[in-house]
Amino acid sequence: MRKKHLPFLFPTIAIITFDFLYPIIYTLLLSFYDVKLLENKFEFVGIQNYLNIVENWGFLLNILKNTFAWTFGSLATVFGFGMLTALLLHDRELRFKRVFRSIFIIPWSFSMVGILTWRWLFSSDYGMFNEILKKVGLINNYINWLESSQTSIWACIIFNTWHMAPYAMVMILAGLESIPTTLYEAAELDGADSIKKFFYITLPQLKSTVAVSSSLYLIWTLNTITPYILVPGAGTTEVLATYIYKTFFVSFNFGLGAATTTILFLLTLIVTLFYLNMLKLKW
Amino acid sequence: MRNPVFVIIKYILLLGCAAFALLPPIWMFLTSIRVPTEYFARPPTFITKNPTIVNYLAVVADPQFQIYFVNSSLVSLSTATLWTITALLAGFAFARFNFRFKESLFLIIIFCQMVPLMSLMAPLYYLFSRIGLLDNLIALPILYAINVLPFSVWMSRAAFTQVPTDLEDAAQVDGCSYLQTIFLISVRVAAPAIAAIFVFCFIESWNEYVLAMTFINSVSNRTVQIGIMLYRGFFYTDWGKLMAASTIASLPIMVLFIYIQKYLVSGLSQGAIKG
Repeated sequence: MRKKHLPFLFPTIAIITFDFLYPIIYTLLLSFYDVKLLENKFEFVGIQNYLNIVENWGFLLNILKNTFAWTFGSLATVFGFGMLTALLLHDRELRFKRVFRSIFIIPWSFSMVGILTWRWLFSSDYGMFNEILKKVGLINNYINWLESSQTSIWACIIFNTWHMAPYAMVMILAGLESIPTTLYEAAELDGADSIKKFFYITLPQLKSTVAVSSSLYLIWTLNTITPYILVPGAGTTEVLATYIYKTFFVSFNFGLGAATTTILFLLTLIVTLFYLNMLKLKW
Repeated sequence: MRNPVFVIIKYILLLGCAAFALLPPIWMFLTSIRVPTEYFARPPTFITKNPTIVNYLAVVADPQFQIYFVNSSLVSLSTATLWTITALLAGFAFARFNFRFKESLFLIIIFCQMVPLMSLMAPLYYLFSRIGLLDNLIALPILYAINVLPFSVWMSRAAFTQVPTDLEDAAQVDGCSYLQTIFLISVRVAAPAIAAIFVFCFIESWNEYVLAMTFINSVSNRTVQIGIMLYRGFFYTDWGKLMAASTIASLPIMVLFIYIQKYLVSGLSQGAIKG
């Protein structure tokens, strides 16, 4: 087909270069500079920015601890809740299946509106969430969800469970539907009950689905600044992404921000390699 | 045949999960039809006693919110139009042509979805401040390609791969030119998937807030998401009005989302990624 493909691909290649390749390389270079944005001054400082990070290692370590608590904590609840809803829906005799499915998916479609509504729900005085927990008997006194970093991380995890469990659910549901029914029939012939079928067929068969979708989830969650939007004030749960965002766009320290981004980049890369390995893509 | 106790437990669990999923949207709606004395009640009550539509009337008449909605619509429509067409061209090339580095190029595009947004924003921010695109609505569609383009290219390749080449050959035998074949046959057959790409791009840019809150400063350029995030009264936040605006902003998205979810699932589970 000669060179016919180029005009088709040109716009995509151009925008990918502009939006991805150019900024990535630029950020990497920025990490070796001291940037004074207002004076438009870029001074090469070698690895000074990285040395600064190492010097304040305790500070960064604390952020990394929060980051892991936030990503892996929410990973557990998102996939736990997603698994529960997927298993409930995976039933041929279930009535109103489509209705339930649509209801469970709705939270995924909210972004800022969802975060704001949760802020309103978490409100310490007028918050419905506290009131419901109290009515159900889980707590005795209202919790100041968004005012201390101990509770705010739970608020972030609760929010993300609500927001992202539909993602886990649809992925697991797709995985459940792809399990060959012959496996279950054979197990039934061998006299397996439903608990055995679940542990010896369903769970092992879902392993790769869960591995792939949870690594994607980890990448998104590592890179989202949701905690900053949900808890903007005193109780902020500082995670890597929110810290980088603030270094860039609140204190406008582009050099330090770029150097810290390298750490985020490496973490993301580790998960990505795991993900690609799971997808069995060969490079 | 099945134990009725288990069936009842199952439905109770389903209803419990549904309650958790629906609590925020319902609370958003219930707050939006209240006056301040009722939503600032202690302890909060779930049932709205005196429903009112004053908040909706106020939002619809508020010139600020009108601007936000116009801005969001303009940005989302242009993002969707621009990147759907771009993705269609690329997807068609990937599905129909053979060329060098085809697989690697496709992998690079998919791989872009893994790149942390934080590693892209600073250079673009600096560049845009130099060329006058900072605090400019034109910047947003350009930036939103980061979120929508790779996945759209993937969906469009999948869509064109499913169009039988026989159809295209037959059209060319009947005297269609090459471009006519593309537009009259391939695009038409792939229309449902193309609509899904468009809707996906629209939802993503309507819901986007990180880039919008970084690259836009002035009130007149805000999108809906930023507008409601920064909405504050002088003495207190008017949650009734805020939740009314939120309801208006999220209802159409909810409906569209349910419509395209099956495309998202097939894309996600095969390795293309939504950001």
